[in-house]
Amino acid sequence: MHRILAYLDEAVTSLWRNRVRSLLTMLGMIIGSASIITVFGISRATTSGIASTFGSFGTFPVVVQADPAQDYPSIAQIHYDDVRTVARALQGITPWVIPEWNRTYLTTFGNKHDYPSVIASSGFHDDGIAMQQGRKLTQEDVNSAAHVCVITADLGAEYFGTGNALGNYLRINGGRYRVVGVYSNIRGSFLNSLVGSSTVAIPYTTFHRDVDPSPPDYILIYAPSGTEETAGKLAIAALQRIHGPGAKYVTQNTADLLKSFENVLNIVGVGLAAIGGVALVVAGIGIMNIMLVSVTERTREIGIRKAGGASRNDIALQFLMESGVLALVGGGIGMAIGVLVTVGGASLLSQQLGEMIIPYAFIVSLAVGFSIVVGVLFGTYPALRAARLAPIAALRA
Amino acid sequence: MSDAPVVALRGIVKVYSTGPLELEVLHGIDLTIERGEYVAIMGPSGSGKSTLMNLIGCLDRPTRGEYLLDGIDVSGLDDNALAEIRLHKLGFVFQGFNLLGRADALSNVALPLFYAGMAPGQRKARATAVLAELGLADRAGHKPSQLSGGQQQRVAIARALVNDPALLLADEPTGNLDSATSEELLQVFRNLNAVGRTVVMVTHDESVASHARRIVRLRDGYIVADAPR
Repeated sequence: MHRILAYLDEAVTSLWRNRVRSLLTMLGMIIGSASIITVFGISRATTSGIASTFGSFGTFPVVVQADPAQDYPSIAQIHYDDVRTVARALQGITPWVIPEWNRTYLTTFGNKHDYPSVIASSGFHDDGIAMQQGRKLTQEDVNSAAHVCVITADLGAEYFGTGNALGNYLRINGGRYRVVGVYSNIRGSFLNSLVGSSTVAIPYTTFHRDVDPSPPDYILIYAPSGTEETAGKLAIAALQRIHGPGAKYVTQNTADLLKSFENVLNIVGVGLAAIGGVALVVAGIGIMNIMLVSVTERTREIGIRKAGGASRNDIALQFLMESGVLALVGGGIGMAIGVLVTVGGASLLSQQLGEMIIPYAFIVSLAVGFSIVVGVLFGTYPALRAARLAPIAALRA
Repeated sequence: MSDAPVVALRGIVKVYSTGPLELEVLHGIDLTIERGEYVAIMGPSGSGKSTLMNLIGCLDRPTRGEYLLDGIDVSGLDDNALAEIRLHKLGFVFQGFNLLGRADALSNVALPLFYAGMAPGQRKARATAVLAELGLADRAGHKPSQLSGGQQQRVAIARALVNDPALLLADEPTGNLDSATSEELLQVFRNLNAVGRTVVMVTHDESVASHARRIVRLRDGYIVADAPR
């Protein structure tokens, strides 16, 4: 053990003697390691952020709509009453089948007005989003087609400032709706914009009866996880029984969307990491290069050591230790930079994408592992070259 | 310690081949050196004396022939085994001192002990003792550049002796020293021999060789004379 420490001491001393050169050599490792860590750290953190934010929504709906790419879209038009038929077809799977429209309406409170998107909602499913004030819509609201609404935090601030929104009446497309709840802001503003940061939710029964009697744009099915595909197929079958087998429908599963989003992120991450890997290989070549120079410069020293009884292993270990220290210190500094960039990047991105988990253990082991591999891999050839020098040739140098 | 001769060479041939060219430098050397001898190997340049010295010092391998060093057949050993032999059986003193420039005298002397796997504390004690024997106790912390030529060569001798080798090999040890310092240094070798050290010295200088008790003369790869002085 004291042998290893002595070699380590020797290696550090020798590297310190050529500190500018050592630093320049390490630069490659620093850049390579920092970029790999940043890329992996941020892509993993982003994935976790998106997953956790999506998770807070609870169940995602399967969206069923008439295929817009068919010859006669009008024959496939979903009617309001179709929803009940579809719901009956899905009885064994889920009770949560609702119609949805994609509309914006002039909405006023006093002299303030805006055009938020007005969505039909139900109290059937828990959307998992926290409330800032009041409550969510209930089944009672839906059954009685009540004139009540739940608004997003942005909209609440727009109409009511910091004051109490509950109990006030919003005028939507001419009708009066009592505000019963205000959603909290979703952590990821990116998802806010996906869902709509200025949205008014009213019971779908009320929407159909008093806002717009026209046919709904989609049917939303909140099916338990794992049954989404079956639910979509059953829904399409039910619709085709009504509209004929020629009517075409498409389903879109938000959970799948999330998965493909994660896949894209992973692919991008792997691609970027490959570039970081190239940087590390270049860094390794730099280490190998400088070690070869060092072996040449110190040929005489190697001869002296060999005459003094050093074996091949002794010499190889001495040089391997040097390349190892170069790689580990460079990789360590790179790791520190990479972690800082990851933490900074994640805190910036989390405003957009929600709460993130930075995989510290993963990136630290990644950095250390890569550094050791690079140090040993690229240090071996120079070390063996040093070890194989013939003692007399080395002494004559 | 065995009763075998320290060096026993039988029919040693050394051929250097560079590409298609083969150059036989030693043509069957027979040489025996007993324990406690002080031998000078002499010859003009090109006589093969340095080659012979490298073979005796296990820094190189003979092409043919048998070499018993302290009773051990070393002619067929591989690099690692030869390193082991150099470590325990041999001490070298070179013309150019060959000290590690950035290590102090003590560390230079302790180098073979490091490769022998001795613990740091013991290394320091042993190296200090040997340095003191050579009158350099107060120079232990000096770098070679802070020492005179004679002092540097004495550090090299201390390093050669630190592992208590069977044979002390010196290659033109006074070649880089002025005559007064040379004289002092040769006295060191004589003293070492007087207490039983086996010393082999390679030189081309008659006055240096005259300190030895036996002179082996080489010419064109043959031993042409071998006689006590």
